Amino acid sequence: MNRDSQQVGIGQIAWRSDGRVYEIRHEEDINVSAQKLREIKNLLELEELVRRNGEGNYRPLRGEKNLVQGWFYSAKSALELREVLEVIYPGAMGNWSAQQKGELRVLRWKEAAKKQTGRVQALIEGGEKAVALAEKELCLTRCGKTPLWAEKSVVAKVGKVPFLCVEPCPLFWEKAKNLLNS
Amino acid sequence: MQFKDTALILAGHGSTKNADSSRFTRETAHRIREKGIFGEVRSAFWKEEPSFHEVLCGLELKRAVVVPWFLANGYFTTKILAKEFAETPGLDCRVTEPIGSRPEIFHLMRARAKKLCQMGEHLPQETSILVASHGTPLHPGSRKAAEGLAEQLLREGYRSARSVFLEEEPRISEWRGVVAKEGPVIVLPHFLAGGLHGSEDVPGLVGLASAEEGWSELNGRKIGYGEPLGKPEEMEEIVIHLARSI
Repeated sequence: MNRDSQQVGIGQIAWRSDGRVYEIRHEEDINVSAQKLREIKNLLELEELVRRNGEGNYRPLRGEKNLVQGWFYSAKSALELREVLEVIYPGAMGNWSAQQKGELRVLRWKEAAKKQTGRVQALIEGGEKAVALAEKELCLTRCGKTPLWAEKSVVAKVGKVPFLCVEPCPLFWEKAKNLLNS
Repeated sequence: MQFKDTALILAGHGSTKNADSSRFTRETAHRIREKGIFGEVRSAFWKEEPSFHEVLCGLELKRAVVVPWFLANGYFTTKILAKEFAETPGLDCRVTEPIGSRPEIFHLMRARAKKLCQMGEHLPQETSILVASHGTPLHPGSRKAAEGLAEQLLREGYRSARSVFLEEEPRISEWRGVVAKEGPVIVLPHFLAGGLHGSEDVPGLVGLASAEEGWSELNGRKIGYGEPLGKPEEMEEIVIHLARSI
């Protein structure tokens, strides 16, 4: 891939295009020779790759800053690029697109908690400290997304698509529940 | 018929602990996407990303059909999904019956029981069937679905067919009290493949060492364990049928 072509990225991935093919990689591998990387040939293979960390363990926090390196995927169209991004960071491009159109619906944590089962709803009254700590330890430390639901603002970077979080994720609720109970 | 103006969403449970829990949902979505029937095909989860809320935010199309990847019209479909997919501004979003509502589920259970009888060389009339399901005191739907399947299986000529549950009575661990006193027993997990319930919890509660399809001996009694439901090649047409019929 031509190194002069414009580089775009989101989270820990980046891609370049020659107008026909979009080559997607881990951003740390962007200048590595393709021969040194493993080519991922289909979306299912990609999905299995990105669902685990470098130790082979499940990474349920999809925005976590531990995406594995050492691979590349060549998407043959903008449509395929979109599917690739959907596999790596599900919902992320849609959130950005919705934000651009002014249609993004952000759910503040109390509003989101109301949709959950009783154990999570227990956080609504008196769970502020547990929620704040979970946000600090999970969202702001491990995850690469900007938690709009916690009223954090996106810091714009050239060539980077904003990586947005619109509501607390299941891992967040688990952590906040555990913190509340401890 | 093409549904290019429609996004198909497979809505499943998912897991924060088990990487394989949602595998078949995602694989089924990939298979359907490749057929090119729907304008967009996505999967979304209660316990994984993307969430139901996120998946709706990200749709390009303004019309969506949601197929619940659940085996019963129970707590999740009536309480959670109904709320999550209700009234999204600017989007015509409809939720179908869950995959478990389709008659093909019984056909799949029947085929699993028949296969196990053949593998173990047992006659149906000497074999007891257990439909091992979730059940929850929060909603009668899960229990009703499992009981319906057991009734249908009984009509196939088995010695007995009963349902047992994780969270309701009779419990899976008390299975000896609900089957015939002797003879082989077939346990059919009424769970979607990939999850821990069908692959670990049910065999463990029955007393089996593994969830592998086939026969084992437990205190001198032959126990056959069936495959969980949800294999993409079995679910693909069910999902398409549900999505097209709404």
